Amino acid sequence: MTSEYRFTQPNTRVRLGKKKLVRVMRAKDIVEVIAWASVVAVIGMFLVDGGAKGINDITSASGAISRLTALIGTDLLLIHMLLVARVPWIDRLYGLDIATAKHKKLGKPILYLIVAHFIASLVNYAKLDGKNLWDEFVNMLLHVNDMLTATISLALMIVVVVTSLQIARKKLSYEAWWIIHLTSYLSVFLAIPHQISTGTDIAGKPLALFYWISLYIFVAGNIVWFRFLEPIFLSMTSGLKVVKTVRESSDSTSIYVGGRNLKKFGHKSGQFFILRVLTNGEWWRAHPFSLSAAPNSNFIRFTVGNRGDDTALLQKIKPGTRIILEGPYGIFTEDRRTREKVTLICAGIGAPPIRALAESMAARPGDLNIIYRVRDTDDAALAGELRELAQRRGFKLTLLEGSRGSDSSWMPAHPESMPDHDRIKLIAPSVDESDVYICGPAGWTHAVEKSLKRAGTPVSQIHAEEFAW
Amino acid sequence: MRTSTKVLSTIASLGVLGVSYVAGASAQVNSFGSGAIVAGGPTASGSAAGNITSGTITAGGTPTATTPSAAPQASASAAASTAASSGTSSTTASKPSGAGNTVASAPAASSGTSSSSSTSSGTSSNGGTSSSSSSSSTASSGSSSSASGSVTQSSGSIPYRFGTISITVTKSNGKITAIDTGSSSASGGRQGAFPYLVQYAIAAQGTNFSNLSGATYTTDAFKQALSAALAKF
Repeated sequence: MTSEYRFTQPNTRVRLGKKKLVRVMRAKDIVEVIAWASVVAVIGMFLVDGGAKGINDITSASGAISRLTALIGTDLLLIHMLLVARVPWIDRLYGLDIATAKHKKLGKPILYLIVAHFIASLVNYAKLDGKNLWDEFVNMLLHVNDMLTATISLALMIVVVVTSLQIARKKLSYEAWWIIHLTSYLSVFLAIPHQISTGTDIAGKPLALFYWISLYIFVAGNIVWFRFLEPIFLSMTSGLKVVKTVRESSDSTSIYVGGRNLKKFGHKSGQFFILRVLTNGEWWRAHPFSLSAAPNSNFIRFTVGNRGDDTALLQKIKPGTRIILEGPYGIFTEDRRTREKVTLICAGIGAPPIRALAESMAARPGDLNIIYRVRDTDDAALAGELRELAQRRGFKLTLLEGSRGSDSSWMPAHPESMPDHDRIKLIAPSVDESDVYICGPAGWTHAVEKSLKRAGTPVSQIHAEEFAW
Repeated sequence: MRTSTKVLSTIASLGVLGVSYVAGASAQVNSFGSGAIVAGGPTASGSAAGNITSGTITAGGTPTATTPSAAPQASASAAASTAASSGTSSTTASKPSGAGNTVASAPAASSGTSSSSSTSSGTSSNGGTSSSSSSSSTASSGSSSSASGSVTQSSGSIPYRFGTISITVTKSNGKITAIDTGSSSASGGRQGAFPYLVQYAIAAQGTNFSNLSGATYTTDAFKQALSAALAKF
């Protein structure tokens, strides 16, 4: 199968060496130090106000706990929201997958802090008023400013976190989870009034109030701009539309998206966009898809596999349908390359970003080594284009076909049961001194990473993108 | 995060938190002075933190210096103490400058020696006796100057967001011994904060205590009332 694809010119130069990574690490350090500093700052606010002083009974202790947990919890909550705001400056450093993983990790601790805040302040108020907890709870809801909204906020937060737990996620449809998760914005919003009217560390303290509001505005600004306004603005001004769809294999289809001035998106091979199809009932669904072709001025191409859910529907998308693209995202690009030699490894529908990288990476013949794990050589998405690229640019391409030998193996069965890490050295002899880019299902990717480490490839040279994040 | 950054930022964070803690612990150190009350005699030396007022009295019994920072009443009492220069027992009646206060102090008889007598002292931590001891003998020799005076002052009504605070402070021997929240009112269960605020204020002998969580405005208004009342002593 020979494609009729017109390849773009590859990059002519690339910066190599470890120095690049040092720069990234420095930038990461700055971002992380700022994040921690925001936590230290709120604890400082508490301490400067004498919060740790005069704690001598349950009332004063519960008061201090209430204040401290609220301050730290809310600060972390804002960071937590920023992590999924798909903010480019976070994505360029960590990648959205890592940012999303951190977001998930933070969810529960934040809830614990806020629940602790709720209990501590309830105890505090009850002691002050000499009431039991339930009477005090009712009293607070009815008589204390903004406590009703704050309590609703907490209830929503509990629902959001519980529905996001592993067990619940399995039982909920994506749609139900998504709608519930959206209410977290409402939850955050409803908590604001009580912070400003009764927050001991904020109410009546102009400097603290200024800092607090600045935090909110910064996070809200990033979310509103990067998640909503910018993608809509860019997509609308480009007039993005589906130009055509092309069948690539029995279960994959390429979608060509056209529009004006596509270069302004600034996308690179290996990155992905989040695609929204503007039709009734579909617009709200976000589909992350990797570029399957190097950036060019004519179209942005995605290759979509049929993964059961609504990707089947996407394959039948009609030319002329309007599209909104959010992105580009991801650090699975040549920017992270430090070595002359590169090994590209993909499986199944992980092929698109690898295919795009093979087209655009700066390389001399022999520099790139491509390994493509397929079920069936004759029915593999983009295999034709990869063959042609390999032939034209002098790269080695190995298609690994057949069912795997053992459960832990990522390769087809070997007649003499040779371990994967030895076999990869046969296919790509310089794998230990090359940058390795891996794209495939999570379990498979981990198996590849494992054998790469055993084959001697330093971790800093392994780049992986899981398409189900 | 790289290890070096981690170490550095941890140290910096701990430093910031330490400074914050210290700043918090010493926050709001009475900018308004916690009021000197003089009932004469050594008992005054026991009073807690506050402005240091040292009245130096010469052998002749004339007050030569009182620190300018001292509240007016300090000089007033110092002046009063000059009466003791006669060498006989003197009567020191503290005469607070504030108007409308009740002075319940019994005249303190100082059985001082001839040269000087009771010294005025603010609520100084180093005590009236020690500061005045630069002169010759002091009233400290006199054991008789008991003078357990207790004085009350009212704050007047301080309206705030959730009600009105009006307190009456009682000081005895320079110490805040009681605070009556009287006709103060606060909505939304906030009056429940009053006993705590009273307790904190007495423990701190002033407004140097941290805010009561959940009753920020009430705490602030209470402190305002307290300082207003204290300023009158």
